[in-house]
Amino acid sequence: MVRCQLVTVTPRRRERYGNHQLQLPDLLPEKERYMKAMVIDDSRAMRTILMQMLSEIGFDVSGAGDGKEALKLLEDCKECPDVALVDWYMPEMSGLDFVKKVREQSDFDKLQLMMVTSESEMARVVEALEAGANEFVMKPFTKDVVKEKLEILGIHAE
Amino acid sequence: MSINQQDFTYVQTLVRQKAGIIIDDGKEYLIELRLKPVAIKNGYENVSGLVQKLKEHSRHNGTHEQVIEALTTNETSFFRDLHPFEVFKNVIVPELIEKNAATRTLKIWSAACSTGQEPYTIAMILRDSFPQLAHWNVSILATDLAGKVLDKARSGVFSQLEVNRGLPALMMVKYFDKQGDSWIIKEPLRKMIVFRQLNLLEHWSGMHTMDIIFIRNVLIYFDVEAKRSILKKVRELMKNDSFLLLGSTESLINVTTDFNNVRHDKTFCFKRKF
Repeated sequence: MVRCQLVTVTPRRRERYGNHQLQLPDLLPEKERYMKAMVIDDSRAMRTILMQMLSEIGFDVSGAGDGKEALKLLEDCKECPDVALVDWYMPEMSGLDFVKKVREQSDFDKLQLMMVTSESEMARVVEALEAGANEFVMKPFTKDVVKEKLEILGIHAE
Repeated sequence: MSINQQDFTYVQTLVRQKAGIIIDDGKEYLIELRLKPVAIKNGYENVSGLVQKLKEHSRHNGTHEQVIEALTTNETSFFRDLHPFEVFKNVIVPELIEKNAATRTLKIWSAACSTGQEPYTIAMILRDSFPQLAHWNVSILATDLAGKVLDKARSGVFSQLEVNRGLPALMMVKYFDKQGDSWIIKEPLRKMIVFRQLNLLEHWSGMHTMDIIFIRNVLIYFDVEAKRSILKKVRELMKNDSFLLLGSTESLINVTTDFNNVRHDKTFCFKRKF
């Protein structure tokens, strides 16, 4: 049985299936659901870097510019992402407040939250974990760092 | 200026003789990349100057060791590849706790431990998941060829870049202190490990039987004869129930038939044949 749905052609999928966007859905067996990630960062440059990295790793990626926008996207989306990568300092709603809000709602129980921040003090790591974050990545980072942290969370995009 | 063929061959031979490590032809860039900092540190403008010194002082003054260390220090990270450590936690240690219940001993060797991420990972898992081992005689021996990396491993001091690699945040909070820009392994964890210099190719003095041997991502650098010689000595340190763990991409096919392998998901564990 195969499923039909529109999916983004990431570089990884292009490598795997060739550049055939319209034919791609037919090639995907039902079991092969791509992992979804959301990047929440007010810096467009950082958001682009992270979204590109995640796309290369094999995720379906979405983005938001602050916690409030991300929360709205989460509440509206049909299928919740598997993981959100969250910056700390953002306008409207900080990453930490976003984490706390998400953890108040049982709908998002399965959503893994990973802080990706320039904060590097032990107290901040503890604060994020206590608020409900599952992992913590300190900037600067590489794609391998992000990939390894996702694997710690049991999230394998491949 | 890139290294000339004559100097490349000299370094290639030196590293093979002293450390048993094969640097394939065509890897001039690797030697250039790794030895440039050593050359500059010793006051030479380029690698050729450094190699000239090596040739002139063949019975050394520390430069030979610096060169070997620069060419044999390998990439490492906490919880490297993750899955072998899941098998260690979920399969290997529980099995050995049951089998060694009478003696209450658990002996682990991390060979080629580099800057210490592997033995510290082992110690964190034991401390975190097996509180009952507090009443056991647990030893973790960590060895490496290079004295300089062992000093770093022994210090337990890591950079932000190093703790960012593969270390779960919860483990970071539990087992590290932060001082300035450094992340420092907490004393009780550091005390669980004995660090010692050991050349895998030479005679292994003072080694005892082990329950678990990690010798990951190092055999790939040796030729087949050196691999056989090391694995023969590894086998002698293993009991019926001992486990051997190699790197994720390493195999014993065409090297030795002295071991059986047991697969757990993506991880191959090896046991000696009797």
